[in-house]
Amino acid sequence: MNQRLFGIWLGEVLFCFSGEVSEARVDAWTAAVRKLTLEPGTRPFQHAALRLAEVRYPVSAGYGRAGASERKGLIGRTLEGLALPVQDTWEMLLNYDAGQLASQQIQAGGEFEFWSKAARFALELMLRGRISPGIRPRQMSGRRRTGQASAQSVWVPSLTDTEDEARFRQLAEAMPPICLAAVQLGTGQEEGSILNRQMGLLYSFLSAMIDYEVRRGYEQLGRGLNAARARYRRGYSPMAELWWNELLSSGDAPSNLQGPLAEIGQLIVDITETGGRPPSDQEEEPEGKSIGSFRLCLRIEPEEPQEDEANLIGGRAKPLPDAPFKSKGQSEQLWRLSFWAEGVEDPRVLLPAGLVWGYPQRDMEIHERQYKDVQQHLLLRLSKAAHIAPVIKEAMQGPCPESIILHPQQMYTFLSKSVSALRKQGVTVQMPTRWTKEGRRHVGVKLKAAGWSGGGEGGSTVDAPKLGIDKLISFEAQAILNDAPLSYEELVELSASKSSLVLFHGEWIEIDTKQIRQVLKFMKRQETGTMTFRELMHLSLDDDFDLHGIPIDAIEAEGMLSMLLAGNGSYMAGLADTPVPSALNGTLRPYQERGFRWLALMRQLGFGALLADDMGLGKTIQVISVLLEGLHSAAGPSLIVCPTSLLGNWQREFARFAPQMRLYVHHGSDRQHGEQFLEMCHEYDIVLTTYQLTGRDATEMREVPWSSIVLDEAQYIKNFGTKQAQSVMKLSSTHRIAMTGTPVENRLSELWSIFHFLNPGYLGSHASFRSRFTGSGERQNAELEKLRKLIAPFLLRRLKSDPDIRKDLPEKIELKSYCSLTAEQARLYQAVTDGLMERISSSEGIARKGLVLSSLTKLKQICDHPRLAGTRLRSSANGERSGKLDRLIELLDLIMDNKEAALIFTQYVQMGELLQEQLSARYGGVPFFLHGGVPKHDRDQMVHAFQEGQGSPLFVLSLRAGGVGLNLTRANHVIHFDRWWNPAVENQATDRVFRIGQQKNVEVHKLICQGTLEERIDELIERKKALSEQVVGSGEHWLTEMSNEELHHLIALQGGL
Amino acid sequence: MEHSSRNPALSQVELKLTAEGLRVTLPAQEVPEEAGQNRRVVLLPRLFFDQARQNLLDRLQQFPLQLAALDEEGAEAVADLLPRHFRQLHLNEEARKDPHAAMVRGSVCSCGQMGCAHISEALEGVEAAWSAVTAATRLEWLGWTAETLVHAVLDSWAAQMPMRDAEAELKRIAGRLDTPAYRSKQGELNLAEWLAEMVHNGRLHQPGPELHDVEINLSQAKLQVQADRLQAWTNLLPGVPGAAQGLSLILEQTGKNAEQLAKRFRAQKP
Repeated sequence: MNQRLFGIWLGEVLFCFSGEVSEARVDAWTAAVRKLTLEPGTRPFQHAALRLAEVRYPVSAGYGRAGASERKGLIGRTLEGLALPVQDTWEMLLNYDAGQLASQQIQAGGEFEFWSKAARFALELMLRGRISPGIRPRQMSGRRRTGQASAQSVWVPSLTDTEDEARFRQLAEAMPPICLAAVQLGTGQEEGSILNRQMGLLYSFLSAMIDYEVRRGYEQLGRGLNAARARYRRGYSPMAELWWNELLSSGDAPSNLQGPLAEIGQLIVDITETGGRPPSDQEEEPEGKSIGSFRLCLRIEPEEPQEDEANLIGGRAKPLPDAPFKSKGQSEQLWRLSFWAEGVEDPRVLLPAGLVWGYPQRDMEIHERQYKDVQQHLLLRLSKAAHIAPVIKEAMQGPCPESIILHPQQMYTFLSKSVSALRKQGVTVQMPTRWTKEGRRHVGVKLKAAGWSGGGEGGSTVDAPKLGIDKLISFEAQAILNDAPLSYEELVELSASKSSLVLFHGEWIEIDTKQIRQVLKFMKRQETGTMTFRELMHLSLDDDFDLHGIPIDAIEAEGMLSMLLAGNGSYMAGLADTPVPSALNGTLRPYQERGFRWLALMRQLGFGALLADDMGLGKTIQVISVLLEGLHSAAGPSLIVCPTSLLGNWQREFARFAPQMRLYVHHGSDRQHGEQFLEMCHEYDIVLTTYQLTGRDATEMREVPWSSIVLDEAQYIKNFGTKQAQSVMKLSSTHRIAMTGTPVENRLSELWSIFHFLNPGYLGSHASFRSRFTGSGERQNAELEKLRKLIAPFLLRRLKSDPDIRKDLPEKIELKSYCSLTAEQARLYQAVTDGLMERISSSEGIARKGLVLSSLTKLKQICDHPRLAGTRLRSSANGERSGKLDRLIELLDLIMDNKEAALIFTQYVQMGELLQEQLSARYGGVPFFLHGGVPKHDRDQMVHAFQEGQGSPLFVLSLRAGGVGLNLTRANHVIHFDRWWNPAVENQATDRVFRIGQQKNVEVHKLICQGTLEERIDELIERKKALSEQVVGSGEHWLTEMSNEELHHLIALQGGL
Repeated sequence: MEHSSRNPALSQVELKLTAEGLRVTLPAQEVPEEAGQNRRVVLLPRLFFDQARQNLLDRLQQFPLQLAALDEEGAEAVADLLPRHFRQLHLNEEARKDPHAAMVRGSVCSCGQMGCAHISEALEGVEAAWSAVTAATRLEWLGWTAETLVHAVLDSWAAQMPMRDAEAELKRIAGRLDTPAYRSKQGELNLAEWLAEMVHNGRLHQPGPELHDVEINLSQAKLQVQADRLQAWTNLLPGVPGAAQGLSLILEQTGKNAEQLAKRFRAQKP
C-alpha cells in the first residue's frame, strides 16, 4: 500500500509526516519510510528522529477532504513524523526523484518538487559564489534577561543580483500552501502576507542548506582558515569579530553571540547591509492589497452536437481538421476543452479566458487582491501548456484562444499523454465529473458478513476461541464503484485503463487507477475470508481501521449480526424468548425479563456484558436469573466479586430468589485457602468474595476455572493499575458480567479497564485508548461517539426515567441494604448484649423494661456508629468505624453521580450531626439537618431552599421532625439510616417525598446491619406486615414484653460477617 | 528602373527615426561637383511604415504563441513576421509592382529634386541596414517595442470581444464566490482560513505554476568574486586582516564542492 510522504521546513529540520494520527498507521509509515533508498544508495530517513509538530492539517487526510468544521479554518493538530536534519535533507532533495519514490510505494506530496528545486537553486548560488556571511536573531534559552539579545552566524544566499532576486521571488510565490502549515514556522517571520511568509521560509531554508555546505568545506581548507580568524578577546574586541569567528567554525558548538540588545541589533544591521538584505514583499502591496496570480485551468466538458455544422466553426471554438461534427453515439462524443484563469492564492477565482481577453485593463482587482498583467500571464501559461499538449497548440491558431473541440481519439490522446505532464507543470485539469460535482469515482470494497463461522452461535469446536469477540465471522468481499457493485471482470477492465477518464456503463467517469489496482489485488487474495467480531466492529465504525491495507466502505450483515453492528441497541427487539428459569423464586418485571434475556444472549454469544441499569432497577435479580439459568450447564462454580458492604445483600438476594443455589461466602478470617478452597469450590454453585480478597487470595482464585465471573460495582476496577483491577483481570472464565449503576454514558473514557475485563483486547491497548478517547474538543466528541457505538452491543443501561421502564416500576421501590458491623462495632455490640443478658435475669418490672429499652437503644446506636455509644478513638477515620456509614456513602456516591437528591432519616440527633459532618467532608456543602430543636422559621427556610435546589442535594432529618406540612419532593431517594420499627411511622417519613408533585419514582432504602437485632426485627415486620400495627404497636414497648429467651434470640449477634 | 550602382557602407549612413519618418543622412560626397556641399538627407516618410506596422499587428493577432514568445523573449520571436527586405514594407497595392520605384517617388531629398540619385542611395543604405540590424531595431523602425506591440495585440483582442460593462461582468463571474479574501478587518492574514480553502480546493500540496518557470542553471560556472564585495567585509572587520582572503578561500572551496555535487547531478539528469 502506498505511503504518503509530506515535508515542511521547521527552521532547522525538514519535518516529514504522513498526516495519519492512528498509532498503528504512523508506525507502519515510519517503518516504510526508514527503508526508503535513493540514489546513490543512501537512506536519508534511516536514523531520523521521531518528532511531534503542530501542523494545520485536515482530519480527513485520507481522502484529502476537509471536514465540515474545518472549512472555516484549519486548527493545529499534533502530528508525529520524522525530523530530517539539514545534512540528510540536502542529500535527499538534491537526489529527489518522484518516480524512484513511487517505485518504493512512497507517494510524495507536490511540495517535494518545490523543495528539490529550492535545493538546486541553493546549489547554483554556491556554484557562482552568490553566497554571503550573514546573521540571524536567536531565541534566548533559559531565563530571559531583559535588555539582552542573542544571534547566530549563518551563511546566507546573496540575492543582490536582480535576476537572482526575481527567481527567488518566483520560487517563493510557487511555494505550496502546506509549507506554511506549521503552527510555529521557526523562521522568525510569522506575520504579514502569504508572500512575506513564503519568502521568509524560503530564505531560511536556503540559508540552512548553504550554511551546512559551506561549513562542510572548512575541513578541506584546514589551517588555511587560521589566518582568517580574528584574535577575539571578550570585553575588548568588537562583537563583529566574535560573530566572524563563529562563522568560521564548524557550527557544532552552541553560539555565544549574546549581548546587549542595542549591540546585537546594530551588529545585525551592519552585517545585513554589508551582505545584502533578504528580499521582502513590502513594495508589492499597493494600498494594502495583496498580489494575486493566475494558473491555467483546463476544463473538459462534453460537447452537444450541433444541427448546423457551420455554427460549430463560428465563434471561438475551432474543431481540429478531421474531427467529426456530429456525435454518432457515445463513442463519437465530442469534447470541448476550454481555458480558464484560476487564482493561485485564491482558487475560488476562476475566470473564463474570454473574459480575460475582453477585459479592457491590464490589471484586475478581485476580492481585494490585485492581479497584474492578467492577459499576459494567461498567454504565458497557455504557451507553456502548448509545448506539452498539441491540442492546445492547435487552439492557439487565432486571436483570443478560448477553447477547442476534440473528438474522442484526440480526447484519449490528450488524457493519456498530456494531462499528467500538464498537472506537473501546475496546470489544473478539470474533468467533466468534477464539473457535475460528482467528483472522481471511488472504487472500494464492501464486505458481506455471512455470519458466525465454525458452526453458528456458540459453536463448540475444540479450537473455538473462548471469548465471543474473537470468534470468527466469515465474509465475502465485493468491489464497488461508489455504491454500485463491480464485477471482477469490470474491475480488471478498469485497472487496465491507461487514462483516468473512462467510458463505463455508458457514461464517462474519472477513476483513480492506482486505487483500482489496489482493490483488484485485494480481491484476488481475499474475496472470501474470516475475521473476528472485534475486527468487524472496528471496521464498521473506525475510519482508521482497514483490512490488509484496504479501507472498507460498507459492511452488510443480517440478523443478529446486523443489529449488533448497528450500535444502537436495536438487537434488543430481536432477543430470543429464553424462558425465565422456573426455579427463580420471584417474578421479574418486564424490563428485568428483557435484561435477563439479553444477559443470556451475551452468554450464548460468548460476549462479556456490562449491565449498567440505574440503581434500584434490580440488577442483582437479573444476574441471579441468568446464573440460575446456566446452572445446569455450568462446568464449575461462578464467582461474584463485590465490595465488602454488599456481601450481605447478595446473600439475602440469593436466599430470597434462588435458595437452591449453594453459596459460599469467601470472607473473614476463617475462609478457606489452598487445596481446601479448591475443593470447596467444587461443592458450591456460587462463590461470593470481595475485591480485596481477589488480590489477597489471588493464587487460589486463579486456579479455579470459573464458569462465570460477575463484578458488582465494577467501577472498582476502572483504574487498570490498581491491585484489585490487576487481580480480577487474571481470573479465568469464558463468561463475564460487570454491573454498575454509575452513569457510564458520561464516563466512556473510564471504561477501558472494565471492557478489558469483559472482552480483552476489544478496545485496543490502554495507551492507544487514552490518546484517542481522552481529551476534549470537537474531534474528541466524534471519537467518543464511535466509542459509544463500539461498546453498544455489550452494554445495557436503562434509566428509571425511561417511559418504558417507568411504567413497570412501582411508584415506590423499597430496597434493603444489608451492612456488616465493623470489628469495633461487633465488639461493642457483643459487650452490650452480654451485659444485658447478665443483668436481665435479676431484674423485673419497670427496672427490667428500662434495662431492655436502654440496651436496645445502645445496640441500635452501635449499629449506627460506635461514637453514638460514647466511644471515641484518636483516629478520625469515622467512616471506617461503621459498616452502615460505609454503605450509606456507597449509596450516596451513586445518587450524587446521577445528580439526584436524597433524604436521610435517623432517630438520633447525634447521628444526624455526624452525618452532616461526614457528608460535607465528602461532597462539599453542608447538608441541612432538620430535627426537633430547629425553630420553625429555620425549618421553613431549609425546606424552601432544598426544594428550590439550593445547597446540598442531601437532607438529614430526624424521623420525628418529619412532621406534617413538609414537602420535600425534590428528593427521589429516602434512606432510613436506622429503623423505627413501626412501618406507619417510616411511611410517614417516606411520604415527605412521595407526595403530589413528585415526578420521579422514589427509592426507599433501609439500611440493616446483618446478624443484629435490626435484621431480626425487620424479618418479624415482614412476616407480619399486615398485622404489624397490632404486633409492633406504635412504639417499641412491645419489645419489653418479650421473654428473656425471645430477647436473647432477637439481639444475639449472628453470622460471620 | 535601375538602381544606383553605388553601395554606401553601412557605417557611413546615419539613420534616425523621427515623427515624420526615417531620416537618412548620406556620407560626405567625393564627387568633385558636389564637394563642399552639405551632406544630403533623405526622408522616407512615415506612411511607408504605417501599413507594415498595421500588417504586423494584424498578423500577430493570429499567432498567440508567437505573441507569447514576443512577450517572453523579445523581438527575435517575431523576426519571421517582419519583411525580409526593407522595400517590402511599403506594400500597398500600387507599390507592389515596383516597391523601389514607389519608395523613390514617395521620398524627399534635401537637394530638392524629385527622384534624385540620393534617394536611391539612401534606399540602398537602408536596405543594407535593415538586413543587418536586430529584430528589435526593425520593430523600432516600425514604431514598436516588444511591449507596446504585445499590448497593442491584446488591445485588439479586447476590441474584438467588446463587453458593455467589463467591471460588471467581472463582478458577476467573480462575485459568485462567497467569503472575502483571507483578511480580518485589520488586514491581518487568516492563515487557518486560507489553508482550509486550499484543502477544500485540493491545492494544499500543489506548487504554483511559477515553479516551472524558474530555471536553474547548474552548468559549470566561473566563479568571480568582486573585489568590492571583499572590501566591504574588510571594512566591517578592520581588526581582521585575513578576512577578505579567508572569505575568498571559502567561496572558492564552496564553489569547488558545489561543482562536485552539480557534476554528479548533471550526470544523473539529462
